[in-house]
Amino acid sequence: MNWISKLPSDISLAMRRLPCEILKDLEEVRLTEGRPMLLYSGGKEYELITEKRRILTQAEIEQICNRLSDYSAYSCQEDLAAGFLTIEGGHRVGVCGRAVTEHGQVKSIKEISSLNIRICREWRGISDKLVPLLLDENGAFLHTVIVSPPKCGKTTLLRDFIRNLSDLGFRVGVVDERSEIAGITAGIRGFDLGMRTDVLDRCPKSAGILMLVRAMAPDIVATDEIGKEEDLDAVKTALCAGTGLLTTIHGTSRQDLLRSSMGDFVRKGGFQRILYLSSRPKIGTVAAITDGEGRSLQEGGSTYKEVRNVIYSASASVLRGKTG
Amino acid sequence: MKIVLCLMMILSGMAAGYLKSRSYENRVLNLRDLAMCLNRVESEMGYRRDSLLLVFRRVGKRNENSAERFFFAVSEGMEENPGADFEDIWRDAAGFIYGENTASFSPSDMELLTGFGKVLGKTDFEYQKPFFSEMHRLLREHIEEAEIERGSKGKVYQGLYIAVSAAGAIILF
Repeated sequence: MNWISKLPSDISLAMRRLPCEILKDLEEVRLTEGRPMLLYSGGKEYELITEKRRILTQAEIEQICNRLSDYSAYSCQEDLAAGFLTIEGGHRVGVCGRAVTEHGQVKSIKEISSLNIRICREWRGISDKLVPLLLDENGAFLHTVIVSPPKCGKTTLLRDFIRNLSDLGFRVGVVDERSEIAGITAGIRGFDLGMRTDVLDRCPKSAGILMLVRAMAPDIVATDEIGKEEDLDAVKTALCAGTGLLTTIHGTSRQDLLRSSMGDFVRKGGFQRILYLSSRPKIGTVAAITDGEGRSLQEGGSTYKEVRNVIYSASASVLRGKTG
Repeated sequence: MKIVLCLMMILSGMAAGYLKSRSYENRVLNLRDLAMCLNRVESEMGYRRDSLLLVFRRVGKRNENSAERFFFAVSEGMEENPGADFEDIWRDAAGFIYGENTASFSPSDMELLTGFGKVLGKTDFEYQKPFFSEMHRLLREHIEEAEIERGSKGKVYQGLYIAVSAAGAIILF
């Protein structure tokens, strides 16, 4: 976690000295002007007290924000206008302060008063048992949406789905608008997304989906937090091209999904698989998996390894057909 | 023997004069290299919108002149000390590459360079451009001043050292 080195030295040292079980499950670090420094790990809240201090001043919060952005506010001005930064490792830092507006649009944030560092992790294997449910009996991918409230692990699950599907033989194109899925820094991926995955980093979804479909011929397009009108148009173009769709959306239930901008798409059977995540009993719990009509699917059936063999043997016969 | 000593004295004077005038030549070259590298920094920032660390590393990677060495030193400082203040890293790198020991920059040149480090990267790119424009303008002024000094003081010192050594040779002879 290189970002810890960018914190003031006493805070950085205190964080490195935290017990392993807290560091391992660290979810968020909240730094607020004039308030105690708070850590969230394993569903619990902790207060961080260092040898020098319990609280941070506004100037110190601002300095931490400068360091986290590598003193390069110009390079993340769009993100800052949206109220966040993405730092090395794909972690998202929420930023609060005074908004600077121009013609009704937020240009940037000044007088930064609080930061929320959300730690993102790779959990390899969490989608292994779920992948077979996203494929039909012929091994073809079914359009899938992950419905989740905030902080339930949807991006972590999405990442592992991408990796699994890519390693199964699908060409996956990822539109990583906020650089959270692949965690790319200087062109190098921070997370394993599989061997057949192409990533468009920091690209708006609507443009990115079209670019991938035209240029990279993906079997599946994967993106996080779909919902805007322009995204829907791009999705429809991708589906017309025969590309599968794997995405996520905020919500807790089918009703939320139907009320969202994707509602019409869902009613028309656009998604054949809908996964619902929950934080109970813990983050990343798959509360339900349904088909496009809302009928519950049972877990089980083919295992991941059986599905892998089916895909590989199908690929081999195609190759023989081409060379023979 | 006396002739040899006189010749050596004159040659030493010429060498000393050349070295003294060289510092004025170096100042011109270093300022020009800095101006060129700043152009590249501005282009990289505007085109790629990469962080300063990546921009400096790219601009400084060839390490062929003092300016490239300076930017590379800044990038190394940022990488090795992520917790340090950028202004401190910038100032330390400027002192290391252009400081008194190297006789590369005048005190006013150093002040200009270290002052620029206080504003670099801190705003969106649209508001960085005026800082770059102003820096380029001031650098042009410093380069003109340095060229005038090279032409006047450089030649004066060269002539002076030769004259002193020749006088010494004559006295010795």
